[in-house]
Amino acid sequence: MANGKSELFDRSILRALRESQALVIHPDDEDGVALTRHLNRVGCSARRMWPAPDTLPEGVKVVLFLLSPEVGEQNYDWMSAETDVARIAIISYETPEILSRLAKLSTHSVLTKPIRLFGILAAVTNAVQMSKHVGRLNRRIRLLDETLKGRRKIENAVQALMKERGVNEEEAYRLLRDKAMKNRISVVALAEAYLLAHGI
Amino acid sequence: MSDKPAFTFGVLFSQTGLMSVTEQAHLKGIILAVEEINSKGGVNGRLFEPIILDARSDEEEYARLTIDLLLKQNVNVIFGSCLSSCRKRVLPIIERFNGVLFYPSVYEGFEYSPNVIYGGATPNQMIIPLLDYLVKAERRKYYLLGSDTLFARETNRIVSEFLEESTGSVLGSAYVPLDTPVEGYKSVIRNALKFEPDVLLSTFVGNENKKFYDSCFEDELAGPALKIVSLTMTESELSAIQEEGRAGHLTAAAYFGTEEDTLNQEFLERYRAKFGEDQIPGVYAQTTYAQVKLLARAMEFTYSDSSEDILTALSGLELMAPGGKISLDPETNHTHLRCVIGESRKDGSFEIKWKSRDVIQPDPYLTGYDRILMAKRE
Repeated sequence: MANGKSELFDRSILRALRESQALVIHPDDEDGVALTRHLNRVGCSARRMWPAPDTLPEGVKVVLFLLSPEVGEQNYDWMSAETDVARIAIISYETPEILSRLAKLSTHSVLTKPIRLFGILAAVTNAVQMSKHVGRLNRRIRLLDETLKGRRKIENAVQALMKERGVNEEEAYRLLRDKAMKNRISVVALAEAYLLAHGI
Repeated sequence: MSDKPAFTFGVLFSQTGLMSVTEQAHLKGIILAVEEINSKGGVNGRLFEPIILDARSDEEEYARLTIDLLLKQNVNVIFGSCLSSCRKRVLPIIERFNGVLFYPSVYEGFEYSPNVIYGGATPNQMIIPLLDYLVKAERRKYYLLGSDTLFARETNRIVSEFLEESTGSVLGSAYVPLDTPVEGYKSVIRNALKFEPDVLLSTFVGNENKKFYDSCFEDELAGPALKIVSLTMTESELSAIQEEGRAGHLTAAAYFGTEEDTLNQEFLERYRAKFGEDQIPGVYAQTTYAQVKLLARAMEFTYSDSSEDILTALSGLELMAPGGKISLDPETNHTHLRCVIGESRKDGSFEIKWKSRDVIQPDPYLTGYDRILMAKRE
C-alpha cells in the first residue's frame, strides 16, 4: 500500500474503552475475578457485583452479565430502559431458553463460560460500537418520526387555509411560514395552533 | 553427580528458514544459561535438560512440535517463537494443555495469556522512546517499510498515531511479503525514497533484514542524510549483512552487547568462549539467557515443575541480567525493560547513544499511553 494514512485505524474505539466504566455481574469465583481483572488489564475501569442490582449504577457504560439457569433468576428488567449501555451476556448454555432471553435483552455480544481471556477485548469493543450504532439509529428514527408527524399537521393546516382564504397550496404554505417567522415559532407549532383554534 | 531426575523442557526456535539468523541468536542464550546452571549442579539438584527442536520458520511446524513436546515428551515449559504468527499459532495449544511458554521477542502487544511469560518489549517500551529521540533530533519525515507481519502493521499504526500528535509525519508505508526475492526489495526502496524521507523506519524481520539493508547499500540508495531505524536489526542480523553497509543505522532494543556493566562483561566472555571470539550477543540471546535464569530462580522456590507452581513462583520475580535489572509484571506477565538506542558499527556491534533512565513498565494494551495522549489534547 502506498499511503500510510489510509490504513490508520479508528482510534476512538480504544479511546472509548478507556473512558468506559464496566460492570461485571457475576458471582465471586474464578471466572468472575479473571474477567474483571482482564477488563482492567485491557484498560477499562471495571468492578464486579453479585447478585444483579435493581438499577444500573450511575456512569456504567458496559455491562457484562451472567445469564445462566444454574445461578437463579436475576433481575435484568432495568436493561430494557437503558438504551445507551453496551450489553454482553455471559452464557454457559445454548438452550432455546437462553437464546430467547439473549434476544429479549437485545445483547450486543456474548462471552462463553469457562471464560477465556482471548476474545474479551473484541467482545467489549464490538458491543460498545454496536450499542452506539443502535443509539444513533434510534435517535435518528425519533427525529424522523417527529418530522413526519409535523409534516402531516402542516399539510392539514395548509388544506384548511386554502379553503378559508381561497388561495392555492403554495400561497397557503407561504402564509403559514411568514406568520411563524414573525412570531418566532416553528411552522409545525403554528400549524398545530391553527388547527386547534379551528377545532380541526 | 545428582541422582535426581533432570528437568526437561522444550526449546523451539527456527534453526533454518527465513527466521534462522534471529532465532539462532535466541538459541545461543538458552544454551549458555543451561550450561551455567548445570555447571553449578542444576536447580535443587536437578540438571536442566533442554529438548532443542528446529521449527524451520514455519508456523505449522511450530504447532506440530508444540503438541509433540507437551503431549509426547511431557514437558510443561517451552521457550520459543519469534514471529507473532507463530506465537499466535502456538498459544491456544499451550493454553489447552496448560503449559508455560517463555516468549523472548519484541512484539506488537495487545495480548495476555496467563500461560505466557513475555520477555520481549511492548511498543510503549521501545517505539515511543525511539520516536521521542528521533523527533528531538529533528527527524520528522518518516517512511514506514517492513515485512508484511502483524508486528509491522501494529507498530506502524502506533508510529502513525504518535507522529500525528507530534511535529513529525508519515509520508507513506509499504509491506513486503515474507520470502520476497531480493529484486523485489529494490523497487520498494526506490519508491520509498521518492518521498524524500529523513527516516526509513524498518520493521523487517529475521533474514529479510539482510535483503533490505544490502539492497539499500548496494544501490547506494540510502545517503548519509537518511537514517534507517529499526527494532529488529540486532547484532545477529547486523553481522549477516555486508560489512561495508553495516555502520550508521539506529536500533532500539532492551540490550546491546556493548553494555558496560560487570555482569555483561562476564556474559560476553562466556558467550565468546562458547560461540567464537568474533561473536557479539544481542537482545535475543540476552533475553532467553535471562528467561532461563528466571525459570531457574522460580524453580528454586517451588521445588516443583508443574505449570501452576512455576507460574506462581515467577510472578513479580526480579533478576540482575546482563545490561541491568529486569522484573516480571505480575498483572500482565510482561517484563520491565529499559530502552536502549544504539548506532550500528562496521564491526557488527552497536554504540549506545541513549538509555532510558530506568526500566519502563510494560503496557501491552497501551492503556497508559492512550491516557497520556488524551491528556495532551485536553
